[in-house]
Amino acid sequence: MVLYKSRLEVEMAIFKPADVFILLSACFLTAWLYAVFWFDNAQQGEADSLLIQLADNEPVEYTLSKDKIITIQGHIGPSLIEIKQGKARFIHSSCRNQFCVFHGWLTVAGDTTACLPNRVSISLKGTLNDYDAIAGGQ
Amino acid sequence: MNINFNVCLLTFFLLFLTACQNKDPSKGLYQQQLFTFGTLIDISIVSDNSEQAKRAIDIISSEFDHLHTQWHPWKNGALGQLNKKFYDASSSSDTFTSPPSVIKLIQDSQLLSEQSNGLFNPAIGQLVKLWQFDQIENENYQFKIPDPEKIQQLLEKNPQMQDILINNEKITTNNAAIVLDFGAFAKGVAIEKMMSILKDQHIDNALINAGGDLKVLGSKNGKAWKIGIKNPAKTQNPSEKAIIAAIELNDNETLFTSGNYERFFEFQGKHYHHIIDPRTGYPAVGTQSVTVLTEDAALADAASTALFVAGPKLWAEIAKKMNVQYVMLISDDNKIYLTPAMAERIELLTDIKPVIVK
Repeated sequence: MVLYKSRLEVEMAIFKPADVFILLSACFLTAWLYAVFWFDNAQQGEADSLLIQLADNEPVEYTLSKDKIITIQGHIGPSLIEIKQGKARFIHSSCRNQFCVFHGWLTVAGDTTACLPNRVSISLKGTLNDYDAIAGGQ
Repeated sequence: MNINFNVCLLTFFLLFLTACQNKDPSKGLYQQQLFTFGTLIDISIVSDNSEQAKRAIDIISSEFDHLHTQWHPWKNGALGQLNKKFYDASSSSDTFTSPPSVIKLIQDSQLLSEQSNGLFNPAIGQLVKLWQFDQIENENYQFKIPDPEKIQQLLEKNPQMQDILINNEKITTNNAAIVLDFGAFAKGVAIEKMMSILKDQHIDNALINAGGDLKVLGSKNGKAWKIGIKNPAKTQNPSEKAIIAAIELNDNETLFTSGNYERFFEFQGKHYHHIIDPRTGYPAVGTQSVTVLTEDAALADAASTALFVAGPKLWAEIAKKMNVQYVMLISDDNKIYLTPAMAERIELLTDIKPVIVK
C-alpha cells in the first residue's frame, strides 16, 4: 500500500487541489452569471435604460445605472425626471394635475408614463423577457 | 496542469457565457410613441420593412388626430356640434344630423348600454360636465364638488341611450337632458379602426397600446405578446408591486382596463375619479380597477367601464349579459375577483388569493 505519492506522481495528476478549486469556482461563477443576467431578469423584467420622448421627436436614451436628475423643456414648461437605483420617475412637471408625478416610480421594463400637457413621456427599456406592454393606464 | 489546458478551460467557460447575451430582441420591431387622442399611444410593429411600418404609423397618427376631434364631446368636431345642438334644442320635435361615424357610435353604444343595464351610459354627458371632467386639461381650472341638487335634477331626467331615435340618419330625442360623451367607448372603436388600417397595410404582427388599453395582431416573432397589468394599489402605497398580473395575448385579442387612478381631481385631500356612476351621479365606489379581455376593443372599452360601475357584487351578472368571458376586478378592499376563464389564463403575481365567480 502506498501512503505517499511521489512528487512526480502529484505533478502527473490531472487535477491538483487548486485546479479543482478553480474548476468549481468557474462552474459556480457561470451558474451565478446565468442566474443574475438571465433568470432574474426574465422574471422581474428588470430595466436597464430610460427613454425620454418630447412630442414627436426621437426618444433620448439614458442609462439607469447612474443616478441623475434630468430637466426637459416641454410644451408648457420644464419637467423634472429622476433616475435613482435603476428606477425612474417624474418629480415635477409644468402641469396642473401632476398625474405623471402621481404615477410614482417606473420599475418594470415596458412601463411608461407621460405628462400629456407637456408632451413628455418616460419609458423603461430592458433587453430580456420584459413585458411587451403594461396595461392599466399611465 | 499545463497552461494550455488552463487556457482551454477558460475558453470553454467563456463560450458558455456567450449564451447569456441574448440576441437582439428588438430585431424587426418598429416602435413609436404618439401624443394623440388625449393620451399616449405606443405602437409596436413587427416588420423588417421599416418604410412599411413608418407609412402605417403615419396613417394611424393622422386618423387618431382626426377621430379625436370628431368624437370629442366638447371640441368643435362632429360630436361637439351635435352636443351643442342638444343643448340648444327647444323642443323634442327638433331633428339633428351628424356624420355616419357619429351615428354608428350612437347605434353601437345603444345596444351595449342596454346589455349593461345602463351602467355603461354615454348619454350622461351633462353629469360628466357637471363634474368638470371636460376641464381636466384646462391648466387654470379650479375644481369644485358639484351642487348635489344639480346632480339630483339630472338623475331625475334620467338620460338614456334609448331616448335617442335614429331614422334615415336623422336624430331625434324626447329627453332634453341628453348630451353624449363617448369617453368609455371612443378609444375602443378607434383601436379597432387602427387595427384594420394595419391589416390594409399588410402588417400582421403589431401591438397598439393607447394609454394602457391595448390590442394585438399576430405575435412577436412567433411568441405571444406578454402584457403586465398594473397594480392599482401601488398608486396609494408606493411599496406595493408595480405589476399585479401577467397575461399573454394572442392574435386579435384586446385588453382594456378601467381604473380609479387614471384621471381624477384631487380636492381637499380626496380623490374624485372620472368614472361616474349613472345611478348616483357620483364617482363609482367599490372598485379600484377592472380588466376585460375580448376580441372586440369597442366591447372591451364599454364593458370595463360598466363592470367598474357595477362593483364587486354585480359585475359577474353584467359581464354575462354583455357576453364578456375574461374579467378581473380588484375591489377597494384589495380583493381580486376573476371569472373562471380569466383564472385559467392570468398569472397572478401576488399572494392575494383570488375569488373565482361563476
